[in-house]
Amino acid sequence: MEKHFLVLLILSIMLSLTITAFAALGENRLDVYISVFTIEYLVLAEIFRPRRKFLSFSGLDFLSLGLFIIFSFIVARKVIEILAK
Amino acid sequence: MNRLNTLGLGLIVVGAIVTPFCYFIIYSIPLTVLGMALAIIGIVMLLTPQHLIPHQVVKALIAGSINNIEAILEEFNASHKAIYLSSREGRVYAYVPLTINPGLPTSIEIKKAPRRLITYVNESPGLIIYPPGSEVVRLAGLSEPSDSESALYNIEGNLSYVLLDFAELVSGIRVNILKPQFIEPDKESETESKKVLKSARLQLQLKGVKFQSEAPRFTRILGSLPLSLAACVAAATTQRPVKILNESRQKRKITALLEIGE
Repeated sequence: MEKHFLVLLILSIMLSLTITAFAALGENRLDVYISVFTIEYLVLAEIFRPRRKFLSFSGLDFLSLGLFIIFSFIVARKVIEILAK
Repeated sequence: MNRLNTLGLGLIVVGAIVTPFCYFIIYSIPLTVLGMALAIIGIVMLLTPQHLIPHQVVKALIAGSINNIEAILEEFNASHKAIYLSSREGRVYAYVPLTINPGLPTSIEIKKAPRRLITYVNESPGLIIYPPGSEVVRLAGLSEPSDSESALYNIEGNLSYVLLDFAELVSGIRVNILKPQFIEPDKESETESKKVLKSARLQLQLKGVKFQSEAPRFTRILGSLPLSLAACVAAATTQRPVKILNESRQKRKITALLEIGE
């Protein structure tokens, strides 16, 4: 199977399993889901290194860059909350 | 718009509707993230490139290039294995000796010879051929090594990048560096402080080869296409002459031994 479609298939399975497992555990924090989605996508992109139509200035595709920025924002917010306590 | 892009766009639209609806109206986080997951998959589908040129056409173009070289090799009745060399402009070329009498020229002598189809090195005729892999290596933009020792150990990374990720000619690669020999630096010299690669052998295993050509002389002299590309990468990485010593093929697996240097 071509690697681009393998990435799509594995990503779909991983996202579905993540949502199912976390929902079953009663997880209601949005940032937890987004963080796990980000890690899953970045790990898959790094393992399979699929070609992308468009790349940003940093060499990452736009989805990787966007998810990474959101992930950094979530981590920064958590750190600020901890420091503020 | 092709089907994958249409499906991707559809998923993004569904995700964009479901996510705010579930977050602001239904107040359900799992359904919200389900919408986001659909949007992510839709974006991945949109980012996946389609074949700009049908891959059968690309294969036919490559086969045409190989057939051209095969015809040249047949015309000159070439039978000795090629030596891959890297030029100063960053382009790899192959020197095919037409005779080995009285002996094979050294790489320094070959590099000094004029770069024409038929060239004479020490009055022995040979062919200068640009294999299909030379352009691929130039396009891949491999970084120049700082010294020959690190260049040798960079070969595996460069081979994986070019053959697996860039050209996607194989689905797996294994590299073993055998018998590396270095020239120790002259301790009294102030300029030469690093070891210089003298020679080494590379044992390659290429798995899941995706291209097969029917060009026996090309394969015998320059190696099969993935192996020829590997030799180009090795020559470009180490800046040393590379020769394919032997090659064996089993279905979609190639095992080969390359010699670097001398």
